[in-house]
Amino acid sequence: MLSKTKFSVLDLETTGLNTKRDEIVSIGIIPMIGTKILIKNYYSRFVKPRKIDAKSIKIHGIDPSTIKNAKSFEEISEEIAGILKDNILVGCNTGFDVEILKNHFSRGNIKIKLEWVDIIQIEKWLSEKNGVRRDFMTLEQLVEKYGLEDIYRHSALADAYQAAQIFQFQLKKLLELRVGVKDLLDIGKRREEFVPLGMG
Amino acid sequence: MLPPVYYLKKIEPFSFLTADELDEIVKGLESEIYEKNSIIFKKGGSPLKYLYLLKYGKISLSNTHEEILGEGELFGVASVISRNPPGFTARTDEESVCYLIKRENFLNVFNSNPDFSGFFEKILSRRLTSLLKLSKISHGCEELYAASVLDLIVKEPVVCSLKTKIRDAAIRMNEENVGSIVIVENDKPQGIFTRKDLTRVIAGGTSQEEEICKHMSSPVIEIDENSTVMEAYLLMVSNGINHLVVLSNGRIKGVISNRDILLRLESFSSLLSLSRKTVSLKQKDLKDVVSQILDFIEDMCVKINFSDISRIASGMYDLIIKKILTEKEEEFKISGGYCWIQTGESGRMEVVFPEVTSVIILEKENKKIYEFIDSVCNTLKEIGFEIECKNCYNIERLREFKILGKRLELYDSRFLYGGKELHQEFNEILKSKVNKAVKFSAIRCLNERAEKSIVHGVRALSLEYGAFDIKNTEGRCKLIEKSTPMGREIIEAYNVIMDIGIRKKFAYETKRIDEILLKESEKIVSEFKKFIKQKYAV
Repeated sequence: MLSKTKFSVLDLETTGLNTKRDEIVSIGIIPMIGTKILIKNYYSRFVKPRKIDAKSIKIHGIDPSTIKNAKSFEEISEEIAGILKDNILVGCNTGFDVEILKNHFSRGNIKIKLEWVDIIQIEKWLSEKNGVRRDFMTLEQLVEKYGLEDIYRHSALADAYQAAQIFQFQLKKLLELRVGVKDLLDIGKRREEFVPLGMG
Repeated sequence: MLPPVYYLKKIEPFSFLTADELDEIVKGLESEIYEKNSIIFKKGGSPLKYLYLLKYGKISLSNTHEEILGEGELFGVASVISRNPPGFTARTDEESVCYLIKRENFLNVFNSNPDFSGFFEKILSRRLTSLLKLSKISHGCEELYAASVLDLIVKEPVVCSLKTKIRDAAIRMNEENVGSIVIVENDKPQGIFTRKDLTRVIAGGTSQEEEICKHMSSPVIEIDENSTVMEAYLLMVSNGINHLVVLSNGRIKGVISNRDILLRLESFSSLLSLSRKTVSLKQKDLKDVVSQILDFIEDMCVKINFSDISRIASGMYDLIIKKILTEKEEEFKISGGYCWIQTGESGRMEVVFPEVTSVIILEKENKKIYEFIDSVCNTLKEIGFEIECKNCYNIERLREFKILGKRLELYDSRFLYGGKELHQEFNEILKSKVNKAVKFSAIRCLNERAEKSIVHGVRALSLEYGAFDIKNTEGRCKLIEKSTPMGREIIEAYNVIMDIGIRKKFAYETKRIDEILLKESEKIVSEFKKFIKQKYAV
């Protein structure tokens, strides 16, 4: 039942855009049950990469000493897997985050099935449902569209929270449209041509 | 930082919390979205497990009347604190998102942080004005202007009887090391005798054996213990004296001198020198004084409360009008035959801007007196006053004035200058129509909004109770407090509305706390209207 489904809204900050080579430097997770955001159960960690690349850390505005003193992904991978287990991952450009997570988990030999949806894909689907075609969207555009405050310094946790707020609105609409869990997974991952629900 | 924490930190009362306390709140924090027209909780349902904060959308709370909440407002506090069922139903007017704070976590912080709990207790018990200070800038000296004259009294009053000999009085003054002695009879002050009087007496060759009553200054100028230091100073300046007797419920409480005030204030006081200037300046220079008073008020309205500002401002304007009247009397060779009365807001001493409504009572109408009044009004206008000066009444005609009971502003009037006997007659005439004034005040209370509704409502009540001489809204509220429990709440609401109103007029940005207080005040006003409606069946 979609209204009781467990979600983990996730955002990562990484050393770069290569899912095979680059590494996670921080992770933020906001859990949800249906449309309820469980702020109280938020999870936020800095992660020490195997190679510390000062340049990319600078981009994220993270203090290098914070990273040096953080635990490595291997050290926290089990607790992260515990949180994400049986949850649908939600995020902005989630496909990238999931790829990088999978690579990180496999290094630690952790086997975990990651189902995921992308709020940008969901937004495209909802727009098309209303007869508006959108080609490209960013988190910032969604924040603006939903009239959310954008006064927070960007971090994995803050971005995950913004995504959670957007997903909360989207999920409400999806529930009104009687969308099920399976449909959601489909909608949230589509990259190709739009096929109207129930006609595909 | 977690965005909700960032958000909470900026709003009262969460801004009072330490990082640890905010953390405790976050440990019980959730967010939920509600579709339009959904009921979040019902009146009389089970006690709430969460405190709610509306983040996005619109929610209405309905009990006997409806209240619409805007973004950033809290609801459900009373039920969470008291563990009683909610007293109203909360329903969404549009799709809305709320923060939910778990009861236990909220109460942990509520019980540990007195500033935080004090905020809710004040809102719930409607002690609103104490929360106005959250919008004020702390400055230090502003409290001194508004400090009570009681603060200046350091000694028990030194008193003697009418028959005390001058020499004995001088000995007592010397023993007690005071500059004045108050002559009393049956606890009532009859006169004052100061060091200056003593010097005059001795220099004049008067025998020290003479009774003091022949040489005292009488009557004494008195001031109530609740007055501000600034009011005391203005009273001294306008009467050209240096001592005031402070009364508490009609009994002498102490004596204050201008030295007491100056020692306390003069070093940082622009207003004191302004009031001195007013007395000595030429008319054309008063324009500067008026604009300096306005500057002062603009500066002060974010620091001290409305009731203090308005009393100070009214006092300053009174001083200026009196000065002009004295000078014009000389110019037009007028002596008596009229009485200058302040009415409406200025009568209640609730003006902030130099906008005054005056009524002039005439013994007889003649061309000269009209020219005099015209000239006074024109000068006042020239120096920056907005003044209504068409209200001249011949006392005889006033008696036949049919609609007097409708002229409610007259029932808020106060003597300023001129013939006191005319003022007394004027009062007698008003008193004869007081029943009408009560009724019309009640009607106006229902037809007006916000502060105006309060002004008319408390006038109706206080006139009905026979308190004809109390004009000030705050004073009237205090009077009715004994007979209706609403009295205290009404004055809170009145002060809140006026205070925030002035700041808005000076284009100060209002804060979130102001909006909360205004809303609570509106609730009080609407309850008050119901009360008036029932009481007077209008």
